[in-house]
Amino acid sequence: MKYIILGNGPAAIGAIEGIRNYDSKGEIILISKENCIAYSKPQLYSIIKDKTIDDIYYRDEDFYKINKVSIILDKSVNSIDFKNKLVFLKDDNIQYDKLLIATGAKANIPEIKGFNGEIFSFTNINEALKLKEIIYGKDKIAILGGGLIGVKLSEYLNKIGKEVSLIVSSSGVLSSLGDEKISEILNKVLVKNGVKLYLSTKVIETKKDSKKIELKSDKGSVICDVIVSCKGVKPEIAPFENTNLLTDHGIKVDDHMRTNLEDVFAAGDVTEVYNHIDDKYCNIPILPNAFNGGYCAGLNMAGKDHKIDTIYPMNSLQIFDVQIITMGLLKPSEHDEVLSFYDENKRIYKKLVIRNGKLVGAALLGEIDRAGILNNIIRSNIDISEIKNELFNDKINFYVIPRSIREIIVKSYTEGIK
Amino acid sequence: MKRRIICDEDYCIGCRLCEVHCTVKHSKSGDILLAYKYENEKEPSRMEFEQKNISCGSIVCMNCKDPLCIKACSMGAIKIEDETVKIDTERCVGCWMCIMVCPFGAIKRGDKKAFKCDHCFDEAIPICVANCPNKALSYEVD
Amino acid sequence: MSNVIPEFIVNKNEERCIKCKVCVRQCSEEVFKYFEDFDLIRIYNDKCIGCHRCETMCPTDALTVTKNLALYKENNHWSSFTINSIKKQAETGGMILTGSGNDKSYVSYWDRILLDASQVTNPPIDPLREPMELRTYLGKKPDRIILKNENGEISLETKLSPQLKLETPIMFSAMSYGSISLNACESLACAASKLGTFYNTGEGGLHKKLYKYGGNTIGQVASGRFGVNTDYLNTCAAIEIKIGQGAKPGIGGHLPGEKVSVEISETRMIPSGTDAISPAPHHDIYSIEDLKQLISLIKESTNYEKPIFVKIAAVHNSAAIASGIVRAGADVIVIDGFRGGTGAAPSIIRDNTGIPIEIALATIDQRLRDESIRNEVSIVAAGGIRSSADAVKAIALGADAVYIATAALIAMGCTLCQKCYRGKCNWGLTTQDPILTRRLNPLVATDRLTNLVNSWNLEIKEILGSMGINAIEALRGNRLRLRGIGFTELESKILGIEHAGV
Repeated sequence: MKYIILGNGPAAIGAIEGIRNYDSKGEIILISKENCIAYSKPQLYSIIKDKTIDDIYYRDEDFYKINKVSIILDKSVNSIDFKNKLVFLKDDNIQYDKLLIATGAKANIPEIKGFNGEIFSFTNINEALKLKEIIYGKDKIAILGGGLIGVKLSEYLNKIGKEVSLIVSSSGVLSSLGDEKISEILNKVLVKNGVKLYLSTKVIETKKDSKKIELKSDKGSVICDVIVSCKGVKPEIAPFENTNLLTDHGIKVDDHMRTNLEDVFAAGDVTEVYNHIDDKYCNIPILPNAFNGGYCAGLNMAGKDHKIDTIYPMNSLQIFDVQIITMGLLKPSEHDEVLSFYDENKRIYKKLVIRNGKLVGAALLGEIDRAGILNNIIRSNIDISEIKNELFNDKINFYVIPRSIREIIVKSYTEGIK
Repeated sequence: MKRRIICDEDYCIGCRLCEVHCTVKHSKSGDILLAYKYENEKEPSRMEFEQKNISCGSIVCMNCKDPLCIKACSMGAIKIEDETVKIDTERCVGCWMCIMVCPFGAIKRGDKKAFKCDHCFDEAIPICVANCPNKALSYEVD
Repeated sequence: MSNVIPEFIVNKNEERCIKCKVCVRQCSEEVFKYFEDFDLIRIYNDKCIGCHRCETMCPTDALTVTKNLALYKENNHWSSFTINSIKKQAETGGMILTGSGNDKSYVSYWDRILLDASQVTNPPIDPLREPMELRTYLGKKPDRIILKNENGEISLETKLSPQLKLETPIMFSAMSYGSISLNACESLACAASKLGTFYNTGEGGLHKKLYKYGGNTIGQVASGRFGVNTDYLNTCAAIEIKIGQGAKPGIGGHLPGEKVSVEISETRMIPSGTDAISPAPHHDIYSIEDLKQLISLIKESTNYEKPIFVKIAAVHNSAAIASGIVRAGADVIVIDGFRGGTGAAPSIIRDNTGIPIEIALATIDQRLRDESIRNEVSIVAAGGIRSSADAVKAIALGADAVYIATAALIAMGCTLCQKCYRGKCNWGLTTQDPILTRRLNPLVATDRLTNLVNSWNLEIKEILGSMGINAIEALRGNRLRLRGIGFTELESKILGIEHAGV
């Protein structure tokens, strides 16, 4: 059996581990357009400060050797002939039996009126190294976009002494999470640490002279040396546009990570998966989901019928001294029940979103210990109508869950059955 | 042999001596008085006692068959080593993804890194099991 | 303000205290309280009952519970206990209750009886090399046995009365479910089945969970008739009619309403939350003929398959009562001496009523022999049997077997603080509070009980071996192997034991 994996992120690594779990003999070939072994994207920010790529590898260097994977680095895929199962590189073509597309997503770079200079982004190692080089000796950095990447980058640039202006089109940072309180708290934290925060601001046009760039918005002007765009990522589906592969916003996959084409699978940031909580297909570019998707794809590619667990967004992040964990859906719809409290003195925030007696979303700020217990409740679709008050009022505690359900949970994880 | 420490909630008496002995075992001196009164920083216990009404017990890493923490770790710092799930403290950067997914809340937040029960692999019997005054803690071998 | 000076002082060695707060969590009397604002563990001595739970649990041995030496000026007539009792009664106007057995310094005959050992003329036996028979059968023994010979095969023609087969002469005495926790009952039942002996349900009936140990259970029928129904009678291996109890002869049992939980109400067949009071007499037994009727009734209900025990407290005319009981048809007589324990009794009764088991046993055994009816019953002695030596002496005095209860509780953790009636036993023994009962893990307790009885069995075998006997039945009633020291002539005569030197 010959497996080809396109991409070298967590989804690809997951796929390798999934395949090798079941098939230790089949040939695996991994093709990546980057020039390095798999690294951890969530830790990319530390490159800005003092770390190098060696510090943020996702697996040990001998991972590929141990798992008998031939890696082809620094090569892009020109095209794929799905009918004949051929992958075309620049000067080579390779046959496959099973193919996994895990090529990830690319940055959304907006066009700004009047600006023909370079707008930097921060979604992979090359972009990170490029940015690190260019900001040497420069003071003022403007970041467009108040999402996860934008906020984290602001923090790190601030930590190395740069003057950071964060320009956000919505009224709060991390607005995509759908929780106003968290956005409010983070707004304050950023400002307190010296980040210049411009909320509800849109850049209309720019003016550049030899020294500085001036960004004009409806609220005034921002002067900077470098512009970094952190306006999110989008699945990289350009290479598949003229093929039979079914794409929409991303490559659509089913609950076995299969695409519409036989023997072609997809996983990670490039895919759209079914989100049970929101009841629609969406793209959730989060590391645990990418790895799990890859792992599931790997198992199915190797011949084992494996259905993926439900997929929903989850984040764990720390901005300056604030720790946040969010799981599931945080923006309640009309009929959802929301339990939340905020202690300003201790800076603790807790929110539960309940739909039809089941927990569909939870947010924790400050006290994030044992968050996984809530995450498991969301994942397992446990009815919490009887215990929702205890879940909310007490510190998170495994024994709040009724005994019979607890025993099922222990059994399913220790014996591996559902 | 994979070890799993189980707490029988019918006989846990809530004395929290398991936490005390865990701290002592992982301290520098291994002596209870020195660990609590004289060492600079008290080593945190890997197990934590929890209680809700009459149900109570200490939960530690269950050595799941298909550990979720390994899959969620953003640095690949969690592996299976010595038949137990281990966190490589050098690779760990404290992103707390493992804490976010562990269904038992068994992973704890340290100062900058995550840590968890190591099932006392260098001892014949895990220290908490050996010292539980009511034999509520037991360990099974997979 | 109370005039009563605390009986115990809890000393905490600050250098050893690591503030783990185990003491705070484990003390059910709330002697310790932790104040977070000051990071201080405060101790309230007046609440301490001297159970030593905190001392045992403390991981650094930082606690010592001592008797308060600052009690009243030494007085051999007015003891501190007496003075405090009077003050408590002045404050409350009620009876002082207590648990466990008589703790006052009356003479202990066991401690004045010595065992013979073999030397020279009658060689001792090495129990490691020779088999030692401890097996005991309780029940009516026939006057004679008739064997028949059928074609060279010999078999027994006489029909035997039902017998209980014990692998050891030690049984677990009556402790009701209600006075002790279900975990404790389960431990006793399980240990009895492992040891090949029996345990007694006490007057609390039999919990459904314990029906599986029915083959090792002696079911008690007390004056309150709690839990007595056909299932109960048929499941147990033997039935014991309780007329009296050594700790409180003449009065009945009392389980306070707070201790009557749903499970207890189901097992005892009474409404929950109400006091469970057993009347002093059985209201259908006012003469020995009535007893005979009840015994016949129970035998009829159980198809004559189970031996019937009758338990009396050791009082002045025990011998005459025993004789009557034999003629009423009992298979086994149980005598409970004045050192016997209880879950709750008025202190004044427990400390002043009854007679020593040694004397009751000796007089009953002799009386039955004199009337030639000794074989009609087995005798079981109970009431403060503390060691294998006490058991051996009891058997030599005439008992077929002994019952232990206080010793069993001590094996399971009891420290004889005598506060059983409060229902807050820190060791999970004499309480129904689920937070406390879980402290008694039946797995652990069963092991401890079997260890205790096995140790005593080994000791009994050693003692028998040193006497040159290899079967316990050769010691039964064999008073010639006993000698007394410090006996008066009268004591010697009553006990039937010669003074040492004779």
